[in-house]
Amino acid sequence: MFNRSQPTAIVLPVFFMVFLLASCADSEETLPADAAQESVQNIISQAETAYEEAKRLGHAWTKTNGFLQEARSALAAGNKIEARMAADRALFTARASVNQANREKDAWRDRVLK
Amino acid sequence: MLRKIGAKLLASGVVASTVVFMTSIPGAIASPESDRLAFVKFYEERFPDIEIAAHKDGSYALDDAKREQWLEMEDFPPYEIEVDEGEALFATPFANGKSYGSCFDNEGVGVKQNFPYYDIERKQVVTMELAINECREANGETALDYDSEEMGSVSAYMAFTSRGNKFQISVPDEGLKAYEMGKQFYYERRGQLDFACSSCHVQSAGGQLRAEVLSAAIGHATNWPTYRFKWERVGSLHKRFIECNEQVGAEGFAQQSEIYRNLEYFLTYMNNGMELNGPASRK
Repeated sequence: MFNRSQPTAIVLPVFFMVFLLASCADSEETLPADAAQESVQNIISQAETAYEEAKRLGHAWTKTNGFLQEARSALAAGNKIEARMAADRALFTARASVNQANREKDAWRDRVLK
Repeated sequence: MLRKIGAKLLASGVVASTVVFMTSIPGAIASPESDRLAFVKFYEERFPDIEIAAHKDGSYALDDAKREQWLEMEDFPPYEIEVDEGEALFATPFANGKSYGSCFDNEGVGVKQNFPYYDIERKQVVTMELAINECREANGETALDYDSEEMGSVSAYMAFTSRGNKFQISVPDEGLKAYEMGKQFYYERRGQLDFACSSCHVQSAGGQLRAEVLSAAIGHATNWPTYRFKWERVGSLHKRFIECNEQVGAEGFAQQSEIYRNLEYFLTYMNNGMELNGPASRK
C-alpha cells in the first residue's frame, strides 16, 4: 500500500528514470543547433546516395523521393524534428529498395513458370 | 589412346557440369517458346473451363456479370472517336507529302501483330509507338509525346485495322537478351508492396483485389491501346505499366524506355497466336 508519509520513495525513482531517458535520447532538440543541422543533413545525404543507387538498379520506391523532399523542406524551414523524421524514413525506404534489388537479382528465377 | 579417352572424359565432364550449372538456375535455359508453352499450360490448368483465346478480354473472361456489363458498354465503344481521329491523322500527309503509311509494310494497315520486333542492326526492341515516332522524324516532323492524344489516336487506328490478326512475334538469337530482360522484369518483385507483375497476374490470377478480378497475364498484350474509364481516354500499354508499378509503390519508367520495350517484347511473345482485339475498353 502506498505510504503517504514517504511520497519521495516512489516519486524520486520515477523522476530519476525520466531524467535519465531524456538525457540519453538522441533528440535533435538536445543537440546544439549546428550539430543537429549537420546530423540531419548527413542522413539526407546518405538517403540521397541510397536512392540514386536504387534508381540505378531500377528499383526505386515512390515514397523515398517524397520523404527526401519533405526532409529538405523541413530542414530549410528550421524544423529539425520533422526533418529528422522524414530523413530517417527516406533512408529506411532507400536502403530497403536497394536490398530488394540485390535480393531479386536471382530470386525472380524461382517464379518463372515451368 | 589414353589422350583420346582423357579428352572425351574432359569433354563429357565439361558438358555434364554445364548441364548441372544450367539446370541449377531455374528459368535460365528456357527458350521463349518453352516459356510460352508453360504459360499456356499454367492458365489451362488454372482456368480449365476457359479457352486460352478468351483471355484476350482480360478479367471479363473470368467474371460473367462483369462481362455482361462490359459487352453492353461495347455497344457504344468509348474509343470510337479516337479511331476516327486516328484514321484522319493517318491519312493526312506530312509537310513533305508522305504519310504514316509510307513507313510501314502494307501501308500500315493490319500490321500491329508484328510489333514489337527486335531490330538486329540497331540492337533494340521496336514497338509500334516507337515506329510511329521514328516515321514522323524520318519525314521531318517532330516526335509526339507518347502520352499525347494524337499518339493514342494514331495507334488506336492502327490497332483497329489489325483486329482479328494473330500475334507473330519472333525472338532471334540477337534478341534473346532483350527478351530475358523483359522476362526478369516481369517476375521481379519491386516497390514497397514487394510485388512482381506475376504476383497479381500469375500467382493470383482469377483472385480479387477489392472489387476487381485479377486478369490472367496471357492475353495482356492483345487489346492495346485501350480506353480506360479511369483515364477517360485511350492510353498505351506502357502507360498501364507505369500505373501498375506505381500501384505497388515502385517508381515507373518512361513510356518507350528500353526496360518497358523489353517487357512488352516478353509479354507479347507470351501472347503469340492470340487474336488482337484493340483498341478495347477497360474500367
